[in-house]
Amino acid sequence: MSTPEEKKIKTDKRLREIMTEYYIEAKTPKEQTGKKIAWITSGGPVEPLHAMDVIPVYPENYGAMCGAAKMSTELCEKAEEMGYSTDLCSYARGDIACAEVNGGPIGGLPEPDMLICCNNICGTVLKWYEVLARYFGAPLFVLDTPVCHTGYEKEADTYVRHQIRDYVAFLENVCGKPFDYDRMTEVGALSVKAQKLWKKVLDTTMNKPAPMTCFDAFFHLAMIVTLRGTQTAVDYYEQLLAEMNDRIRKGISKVEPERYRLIWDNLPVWYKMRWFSDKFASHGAGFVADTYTSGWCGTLPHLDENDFLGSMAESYTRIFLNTGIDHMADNIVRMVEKYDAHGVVFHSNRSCKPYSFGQYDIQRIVRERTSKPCLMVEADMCDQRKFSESQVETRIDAFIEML
Amino acid sequence: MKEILERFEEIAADPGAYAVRWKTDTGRPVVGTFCSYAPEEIIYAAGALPFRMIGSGAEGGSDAYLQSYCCSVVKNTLDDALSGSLDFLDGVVFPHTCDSVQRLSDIFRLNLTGFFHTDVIMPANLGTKSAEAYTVSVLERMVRDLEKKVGTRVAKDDLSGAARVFNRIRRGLKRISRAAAENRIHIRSRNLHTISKAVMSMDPGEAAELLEQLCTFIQEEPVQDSGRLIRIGLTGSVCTAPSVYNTIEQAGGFVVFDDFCTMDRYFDFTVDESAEPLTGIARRYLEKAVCPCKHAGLYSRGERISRRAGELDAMGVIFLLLKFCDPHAFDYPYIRDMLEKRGIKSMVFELDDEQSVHAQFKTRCGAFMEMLQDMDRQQPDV
Repeated sequence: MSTPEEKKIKTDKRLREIMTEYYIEAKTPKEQTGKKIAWITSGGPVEPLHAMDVIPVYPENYGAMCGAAKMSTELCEKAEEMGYSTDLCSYARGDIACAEVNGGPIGGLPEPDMLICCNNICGTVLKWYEVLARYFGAPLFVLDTPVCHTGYEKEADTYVRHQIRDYVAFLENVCGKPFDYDRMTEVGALSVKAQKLWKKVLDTTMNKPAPMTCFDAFFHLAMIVTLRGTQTAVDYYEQLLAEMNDRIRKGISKVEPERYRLIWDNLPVWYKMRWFSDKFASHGAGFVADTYTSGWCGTLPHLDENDFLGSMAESYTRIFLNTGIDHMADNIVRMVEKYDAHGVVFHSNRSCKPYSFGQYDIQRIVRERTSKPCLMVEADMCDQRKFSESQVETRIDAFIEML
Repeated sequence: MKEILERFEEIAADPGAYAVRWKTDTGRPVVGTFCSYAPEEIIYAAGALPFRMIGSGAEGGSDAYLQSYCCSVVKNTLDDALSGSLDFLDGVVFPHTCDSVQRLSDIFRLNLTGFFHTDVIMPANLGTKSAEAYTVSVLERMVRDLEKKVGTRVAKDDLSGAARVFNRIRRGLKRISRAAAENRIHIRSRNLHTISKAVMSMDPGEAAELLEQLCTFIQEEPVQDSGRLIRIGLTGSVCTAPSVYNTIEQAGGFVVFDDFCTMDRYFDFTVDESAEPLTGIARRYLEKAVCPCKHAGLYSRGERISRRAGELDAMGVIFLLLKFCDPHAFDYPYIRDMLEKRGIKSMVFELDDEQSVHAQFKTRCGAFMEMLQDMDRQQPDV
């Protein structure tokens, strides 16, 4: 058995340092940094922002921070007072309220000079960024990525390619300087490199026992979301990968003994991460993979590192959430096989309809094709009022018995 | 006029029965559509009847496919399909709108295999330079797809002819709705709801004909004294509880416009008949009154609703929002504030199902009307 100190992932510390530096820079007055701030959706094309030396800020990442710090519910209530329905996405509610009251663990995000919204993850972001654009009066760029229910069509490719050109023109206009294509090539190569490393990190859990769980991946995800396209992200994931391989060599895992290997679907329940982790670990169950964090390396096959800008249309349009539920089910079936998992836990997330609706079908498909037990737990990624601990606990206990 | 209204009422009471009869009489297919972004012209040009799926409200087992936090329009439509009451359909066409409809389309495609399935991925951002070319290419794909699935050949003339018929429907509905708001025809909002419900599942030729006949009953002068009624605008996604119209009228209201997907947003804007048919149809989708699922500037919906309220002298606007309908819920606060700044009061009511309307809506609506009446009385005579 490893000691608690051995079990700790040492690279965590480096992530905290980098993210602290990142937020300090973002919150430093613009006159000092000379950099513009863009708020961008988690599935949005961040690389051109890095190429233009713009600081990308992610309200969704901050939403996760608020959720993990158990500060979201209060913000959601504030948004509800403003007239936003309690059934809306808790990231969106929290962020809209945050803008008004400078809430959350770092007292709100720095004011945006521009807003970049890509609807490849949901239609919610479109409405949310409209609210932000009205509130801040900042220019909004929308990258419209048609849903690929059954495939990626030629007309969608042409349409998104046109918009990528519009995006470049938008950035030139807001930044007041020509687009730096050479820098874009470098950033694109770094982005691909970081995504490949992230994939390798996630694949280390194919090892038995897995050196980390998806709850670690949820934490280490911050870098691939916000800083992909930078050398910092590449260096960081090299360090993390080295540590994971070292843990494999030493046989260190988070769950000891690892009796059951599970797959997690959907976003985490940020305010209950530790609870879920401990609850499953107490039964010897660990989450060796998840559909969420793997989303940030899932479109690598569509990316061309020699023509990053040219392949952005396809890679940003074909992310898993923008496909049909049968494709999403295929992905989970592949994961079950690849990671040799014993079962799948679906988080039916009241805040995320495109991720959650269709889960019943996905569950049926996964059961039929893998014969593995599945569990559906209803919660919300940030709004604690929508989580019933006792109900979920009973369901988890029953599920573990099935394993 | 009575006979025309009765015909619409008969069809609206059971649109499925009408479609089955139509199919038997004509030997042609019926294609289900979801929302006002479904290009009905193309379906009709392919020789099929476009049939709007709204959901009857009868149970059908959708709980096994969709979580409790899904809106009733999506659930009810799935219920109808699962229960077999849409078995007469030969195919369905799903335009991309909101996240819930996106997944409903997948659920239909995977589970309801008795009819063909076509996704029409319209742009979500209507304002880009490439939106029109993209929409045209999506419509071209739809034409090819339907030709294959329906087994017909769609000629340019078929498309132009279909566009003309649907233009007649839109003009008819618009004229009648305007005349009703101006009290120049004996038609109230509840009748309009029935008419549009029937029209969306009827043979378009018959619908256009009946609407044109109805237009002959429009008078130059007011048809009755409506001076003391409170003029109200309605906005929301789809009205799943028609009893709201009666409730509003019983509380002393007079609905002068409604912005639902089955009303204003269905018949707004006509296709330019001089343009290439698919270009004309595409442009209409980019120009018509916008659904909140689409991006067309930051204030377009608010501006439109405020303008309609102003033009039609509405004292108040009721937001009838479907529970769990995210796009409308996101727009509500800003449109509410915009109306408030222009001196137009509003109230919001979350519709879940027909039952919730009876008790709660009656109380809320009554209080809102009383408030507006008090304000009206306090207005100095000019």
